[in-house]
Amino acid sequence: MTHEPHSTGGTTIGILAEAYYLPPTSKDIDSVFRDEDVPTDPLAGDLDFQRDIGIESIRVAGGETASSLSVKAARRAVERAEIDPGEIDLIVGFTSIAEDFVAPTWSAAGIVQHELGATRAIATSNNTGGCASFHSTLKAVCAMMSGSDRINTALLFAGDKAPPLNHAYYPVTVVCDGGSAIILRKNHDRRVILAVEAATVGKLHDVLYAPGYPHRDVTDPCASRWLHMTGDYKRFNEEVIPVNLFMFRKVMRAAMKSAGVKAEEIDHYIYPTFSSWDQRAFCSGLKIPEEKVYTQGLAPHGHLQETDMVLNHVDAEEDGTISDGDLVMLTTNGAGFAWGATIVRQ
Amino acid sequence: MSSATPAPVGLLATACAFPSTSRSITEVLSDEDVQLSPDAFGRLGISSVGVSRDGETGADLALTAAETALSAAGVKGKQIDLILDYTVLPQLFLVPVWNLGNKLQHELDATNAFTLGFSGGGTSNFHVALRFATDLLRANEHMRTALLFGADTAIPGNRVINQDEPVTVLGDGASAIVLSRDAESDIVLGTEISTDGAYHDVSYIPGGALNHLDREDRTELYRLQIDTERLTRAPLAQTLKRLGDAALDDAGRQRGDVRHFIFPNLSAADQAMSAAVWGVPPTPRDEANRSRNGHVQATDLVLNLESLTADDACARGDLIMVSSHGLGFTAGVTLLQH
Repeated sequence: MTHEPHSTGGTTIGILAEAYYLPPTSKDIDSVFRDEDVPTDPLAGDLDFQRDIGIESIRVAGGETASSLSVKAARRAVERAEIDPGEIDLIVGFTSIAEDFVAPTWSAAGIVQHELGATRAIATSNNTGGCASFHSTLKAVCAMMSGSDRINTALLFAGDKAPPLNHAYYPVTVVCDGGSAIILRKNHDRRVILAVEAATVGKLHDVLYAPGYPHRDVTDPCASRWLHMTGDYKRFNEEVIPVNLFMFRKVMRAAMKSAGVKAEEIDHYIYPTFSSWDQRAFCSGLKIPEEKVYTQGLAPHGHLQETDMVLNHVDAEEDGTISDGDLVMLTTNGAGFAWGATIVRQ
Repeated sequence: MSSATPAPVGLLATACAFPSTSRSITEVLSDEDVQLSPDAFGRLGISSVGVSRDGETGADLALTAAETALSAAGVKGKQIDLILDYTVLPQLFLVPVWNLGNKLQHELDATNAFTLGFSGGGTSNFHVALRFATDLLRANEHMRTALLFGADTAIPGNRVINQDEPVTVLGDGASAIVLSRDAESDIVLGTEISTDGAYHDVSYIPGGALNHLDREDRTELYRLQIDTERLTRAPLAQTLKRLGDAALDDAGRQRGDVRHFIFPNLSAADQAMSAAVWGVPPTPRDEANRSRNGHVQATDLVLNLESLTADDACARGDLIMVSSHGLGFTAGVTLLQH
């Protein structure tokens, strides 16, 4: 059966190339737990955050800036696409944590445009959606590409560098530093975007947030706490968890309806690498066979924010898990709170 | 140019919200210990700015503007499909981890919407948001209505930008636009945007994020600053002219068809430069808004548009060009048909 690209206004838009960049320095997970004083109390029942999370190590950027992670990933994507950066018509960032400078006044899109020499591109960054910014950005970019004869090639990028001592998001995950980029091209018939759906539940806007400089505690010995991911985990458990699978089901069903795809036709799921228990809950709660969900990225690098979608898709292609013609569902949630689902025909 | 005849999308309603209190330019200069020459006063052309009271936030102003615009449009929260944020200055919490659009979604009960927001374009975030919103409404049959908003409150003690060579004085305020496929006036004929990444740090806040964390003077770095030397070298007028011509060409219109021009209220000198691009003088309307409110980022454009459309001088069918240079990095031009 041929599936047409419904969510892109009937215009065929495919992923010409995608790439990620991980800084070379690794940090083992026990060192993260030690340096960040991660609690050792059991989470629930016999679940132990440190023992059971399933992450063995992460990468740390050290002296590299967040925007340099973006630039390196973008350069790799451009090389893989075998295009001249001058062909890029649109650049949109989708980074979801603290950047080099304060947003929305500043965005890394300018640096990426300048460093690549993508002189004719429109450059901006989407600043909502948390890890689901991948989907909301993709949806917006596909709409702009379908609406204009002059927007034919788009670069989406992200670069995440955790602030000092903020790699552990206890009790949810441990985050890795890195960047990712994808290049979309109109009328490209591989990795075709069949549908993109996004949803936001605004009442959860302050369950996960970073306070920002005006809210800093001047007596705090940690010099960057205002940049740290701050969670109200009581509300996370009482308000996010109860709707989480419902919202995943909602956006995935909407995407499948839009693409004319049935759940049993989805060959693979690209899902965030938060923790082993989160991956199991996704599969069991939504009755998705575990072998369809790509989980291999969890142990070697943990969670890479919105870049999980790109990194795991790239790795699943390169290790042969995903083949030409497969239907792939990329889905995630994110702070805000937001959920997104994208269906790609390889 | 669109590959198919695009569905018309237009502005159902606009609204602005300003703080109930203001301060004179003399008071602001005194607050920030800035001395201005008479020439500099003249170049700014700003006599007062809105200043939020203690406890009054940009989020409060955004909610007021959004509720007013939605009421004027006859649109309920649940009818909103999309919320887009064109704010420029820092928000209640750190962006992009947090975004005001999500809070607004909750307060407006816009449970069917998803949110987007844009960074880095300065005042031209308005054009970026409008372009994405218009294209999303056109590309998705099930989407009819978008709410666009911006809410900007100055960092305390950081209204005069820059203190040694003032480019503008910042006022607080917010604005909102209801954009719809049901609109019959103020139709968006096209939006042209151009960015030059070499200027990404001409207008920015050096501190408060990942860079310079080890600097002891980081409180001084948490201030909006403009590199006036590089801004002066940026081809602002040429870019606006190029974009305006492209927008007119794309819409099949001529320069002479444009009846009204909307510019930001950055300063008298900047309005004069922007107006000169099209060989017109700044209007008394824009001058009054600038003088009373100072520069309120993209809300300037909505305010000036509101003042224009409330004026008998704007007739049904008139072509309106809205332009902003976004301080060098992102420039935008939008053509509207009233």
